[in-house]
Amino acid sequence: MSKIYIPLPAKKIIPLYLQQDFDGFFVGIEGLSSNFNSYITRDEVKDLTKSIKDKDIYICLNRLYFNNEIDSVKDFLISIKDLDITGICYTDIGVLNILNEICYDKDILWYSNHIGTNSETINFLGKRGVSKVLLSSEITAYEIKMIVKNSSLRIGAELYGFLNMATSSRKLLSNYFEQIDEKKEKEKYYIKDKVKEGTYFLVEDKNTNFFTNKVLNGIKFFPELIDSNIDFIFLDDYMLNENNFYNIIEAFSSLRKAYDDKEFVSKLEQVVDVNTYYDTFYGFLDKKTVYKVEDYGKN
Amino acid sequence: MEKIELLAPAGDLERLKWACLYGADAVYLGGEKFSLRANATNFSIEEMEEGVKYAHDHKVKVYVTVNIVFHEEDFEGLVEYLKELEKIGIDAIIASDVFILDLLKDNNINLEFHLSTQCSCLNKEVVKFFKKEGVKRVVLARECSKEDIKNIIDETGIDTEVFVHGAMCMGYSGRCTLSNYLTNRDSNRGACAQICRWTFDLYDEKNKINKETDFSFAPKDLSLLNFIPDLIELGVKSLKIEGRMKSIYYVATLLSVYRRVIDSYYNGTYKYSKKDEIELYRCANRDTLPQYFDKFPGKDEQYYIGRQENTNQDFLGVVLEYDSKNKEIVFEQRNYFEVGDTINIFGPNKESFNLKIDYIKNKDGELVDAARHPQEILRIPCDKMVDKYDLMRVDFFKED
Repeated sequence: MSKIYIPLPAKKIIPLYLQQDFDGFFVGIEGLSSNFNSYITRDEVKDLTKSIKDKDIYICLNRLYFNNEIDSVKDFLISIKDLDITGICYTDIGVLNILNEICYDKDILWYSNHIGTNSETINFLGKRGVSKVLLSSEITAYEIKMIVKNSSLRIGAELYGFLNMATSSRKLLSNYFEQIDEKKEKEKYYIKDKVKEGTYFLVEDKNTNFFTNKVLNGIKFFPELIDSNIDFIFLDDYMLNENNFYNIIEAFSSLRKAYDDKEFVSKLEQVVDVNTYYDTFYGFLDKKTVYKVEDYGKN
Repeated sequence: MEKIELLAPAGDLERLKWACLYGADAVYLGGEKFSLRANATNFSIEEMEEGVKYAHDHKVKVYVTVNIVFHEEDFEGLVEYLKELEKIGIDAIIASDVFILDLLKDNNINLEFHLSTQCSCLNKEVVKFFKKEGVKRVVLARECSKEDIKNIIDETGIDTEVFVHGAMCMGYSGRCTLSNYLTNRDSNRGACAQICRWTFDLYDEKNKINKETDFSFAPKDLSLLNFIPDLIELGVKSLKIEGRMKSIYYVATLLSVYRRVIDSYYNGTYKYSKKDEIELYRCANRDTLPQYFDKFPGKDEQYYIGRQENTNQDFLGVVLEYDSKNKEIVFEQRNYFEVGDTINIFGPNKESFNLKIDYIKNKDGELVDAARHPQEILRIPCDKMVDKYDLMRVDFFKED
């Protein structure tokens, strides 16, 4: 059965989430990871492995690193090499190079962040030590199934959460507030484009990240992905309420027990919608992007 | 000492030829498929073949971009295409999707692989990974500073290509899909709608924040003109100019300036020249800055008013031939000028010079008071011999 992974929440929330039926955590590390509600320090990883049993634990290095950061990333990877974790997620291919150099022997999961869109690239990385992949969110459910079929690695997809649209290393919000001579008081702001009036949100930390203002609710697509033997799905709680997210985990885990019951799936979709404070959407799961002039306007 | 390469964009066959004439050591171009400028003119295989022959005759290398991020539906015809590229003798491909490395080996295709900037090569460990894979050259991320570039070269010894001039992405290259979400156009497959040139309203939870100044995140352009000696001394192999969709005037002007600066470094005559800056900045349609090279960009490295492009009417005409018998330049008009104006003429491997327009003749030999109509063939007197492909522009040195 396909696994369900979620981000590691704040310490006080962990017992609540552990009441639910899911399979593992993606763990954000302070200074090295992005877009988590909660981070642990590098020194806390060891304690985490002692306190959480019977769940997969992936240390999630889902950022690109500047040259002056990469030695410190290497030191961290060496320090956790022998700890009892399931594996490492990476986005920066420099991390893969380090893991291969230190002969890392646990799971290496490519957190592909927009560019995991085909099976050939995945198979290439499989030959270089990668064992699992979290695909790009900008592909359709059909493409996900094709990649699962055509690749030799264990494949996963995000089915819930705000979707990251872009990352800039520039401090775009700070720069703007400096320009208008006002103080930036929050971490999160909204932008509305003047053409289509779509709303999106921006968060500035180490980078500036752009997110959809709708939450992906892909539970409807979970049964067909289970049928295609997808290895795992990822549910993201970033910027969402933990109590509601508890119900989201429950909805997805319940579906695994009766995924061929269409009426039940439809009800669960409503449960997910109701438990999401924001509007939901299917992202690109049912919509292809276009790139040739003749295809514009077809979708 | 191996001379640093000056690498120019070639949006089509015409621009390839201009780039070769104006001092490029290499050009990069896209084919009709698998390239990140899906809606540019791009090259058919036949045009590419002609372009390669022309470039090689001028001792200029040709790199072909195969730099989309592939989806399952995009593989068809790729192997055959790569074999065609090998057959016509291109010098390298610039690719970002890593599986192409195995595809080349598995199909015995002998093409040099340059890693595209779309791979966000920001650190030495990324470069080490690709060096082990046989990648000959990496195009470094535009976010790299001088110190980053130095350290990467020192630690890996790989050939590096660095952008020196042109537009910047707001986000990490390859990691921006705003176009996908806002317009459904796939940024990583060549259809980027340049959302970073749009303007937005900014809100906190409740209130609109922007009043007089819209929220925008459009970066100003990059220029490392004043850092060419640093880049050469760092050991960078290639200096890249962005802009496959730019005009021949833009490409010719940039190339002639950068060529002059590079050559002056090697022949020991380099010194900072305000004239070079004026020439470049007049030609650019946005403000240019060193961006990440000398400091981390802040508020002044971007615009707050969305798409900011200055129109440029400096380009006056293209020399078609020199009539030595009548001492007249035959040219094709691009922008208005009139009798009595002083214009500037420049061309490959020559000093530019000013010319006062004593008369203008149309194709019937009649005197006219001005060059008014785009692409009209006209004549002006000139005692100094000029060459086909020289360009005529406003005498902006005097204006500035």
